[in-house]
Amino acid sequence: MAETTEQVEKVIGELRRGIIVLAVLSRLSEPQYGYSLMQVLSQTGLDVEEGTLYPLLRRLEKRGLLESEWQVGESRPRRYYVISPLGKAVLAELVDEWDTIVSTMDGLLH
Amino acid sequence: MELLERYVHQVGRFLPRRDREDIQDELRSLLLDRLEGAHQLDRVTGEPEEEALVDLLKEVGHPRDVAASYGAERHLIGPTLYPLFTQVVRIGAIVLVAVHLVLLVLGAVTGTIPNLVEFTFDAIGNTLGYFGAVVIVFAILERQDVKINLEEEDWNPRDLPEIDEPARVETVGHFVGIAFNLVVIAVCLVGWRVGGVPVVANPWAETTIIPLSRGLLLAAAGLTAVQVVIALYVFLRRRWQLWTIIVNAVADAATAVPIFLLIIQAVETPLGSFEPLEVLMPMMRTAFTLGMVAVVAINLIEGGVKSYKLLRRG
Repeated sequence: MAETTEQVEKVIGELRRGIIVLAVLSRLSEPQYGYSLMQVLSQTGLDVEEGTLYPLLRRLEKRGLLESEWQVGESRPRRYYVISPLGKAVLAELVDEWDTIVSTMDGLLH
Repeated sequence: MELLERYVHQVGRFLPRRDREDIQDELRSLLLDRLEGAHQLDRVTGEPEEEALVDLLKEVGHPRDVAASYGAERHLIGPTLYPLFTQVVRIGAIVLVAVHLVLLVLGAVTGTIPNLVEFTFDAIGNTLGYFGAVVIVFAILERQDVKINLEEEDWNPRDLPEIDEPARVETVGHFVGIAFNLVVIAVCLVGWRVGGVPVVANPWAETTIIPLSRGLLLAAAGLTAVQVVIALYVFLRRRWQLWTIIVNAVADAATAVPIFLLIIQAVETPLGSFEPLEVLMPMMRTAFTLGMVAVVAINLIEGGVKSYKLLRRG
């Protein structure tokens, strides 16, 4: 039983790592700072640790899929991320791919 | 807030310099947002409540792990194994350098000095070979998805070191200092054995010895040896103490005296057909004397400032 749980957790972890980029890109049409994005994702049922989210945001920005800027007008400086034009194009294609994968998997599993 | 800054500072120590400040700013902002979201910031001061901060830092993870998570996406050696990899490389490199330097000093003492060029290439080759072997072993472990738990299972954020801790020992800098001092001792002992510094005036000339005072060479070697002993003791204790700071500063300053006197002796000695220019000699003597005074003063001031900081922290 313990081995089953371990294997399930491992696969779920891999699945989540795969979809998290898609989830992040989909929620950044409006600028969000890290913590607010974590909450948005959490409210939709996807809990992401900051140790995963923050490095991911930086990597996506380095790859040109996100843009960011520091805003200092609030109680403390915060870095806001928003999807870039390249990110939008990539997201559109990823959504198509995602629909295909869901439909294929649905056919396989049910 | 001071604990938060210590944490952010520690994370920064494991980050590449290029991104350090940016990631630190973002991490600080995230941690405060998390505390604010959980209503754990003081309403009046805006400062985090200590207990809540300690719990949050434990949850976020050890500074080394947080820094590792900012690494590249594809790794030869991933964030899980990387901290252990750097430890193994660092310790091995220190041991290798130390062994080679001890061999060099022993050679100087016993008179069986190896060919220095060959010795240097051997040392470099051994170090590179070791590094390559460690990389290969860790790359294999990474491919095998081996998980190694380091000691930070129950780490306590309250134990994080101060940002500007005068008693802290910087391992790499410390061992570079020891290595440099061992080279100085080796050179002085060789000089003491042959009665000066062996030099070659030009490619066609034979090696000549610039005669130097054996007493000064022995004094320089002895005072440098005191520094090495202190450095090793400090490394074993993992902390500087008041008396080690003072003894080290005094020995450091005192070593400058025979070293500069030896330099002045060497400069004033005729070498082959090159005669020292009489006109320049007084100027050079003054320059080296001033240099010596400056080095002594800097060492003593540095030791004094460090001692003062340590005393102030109690």
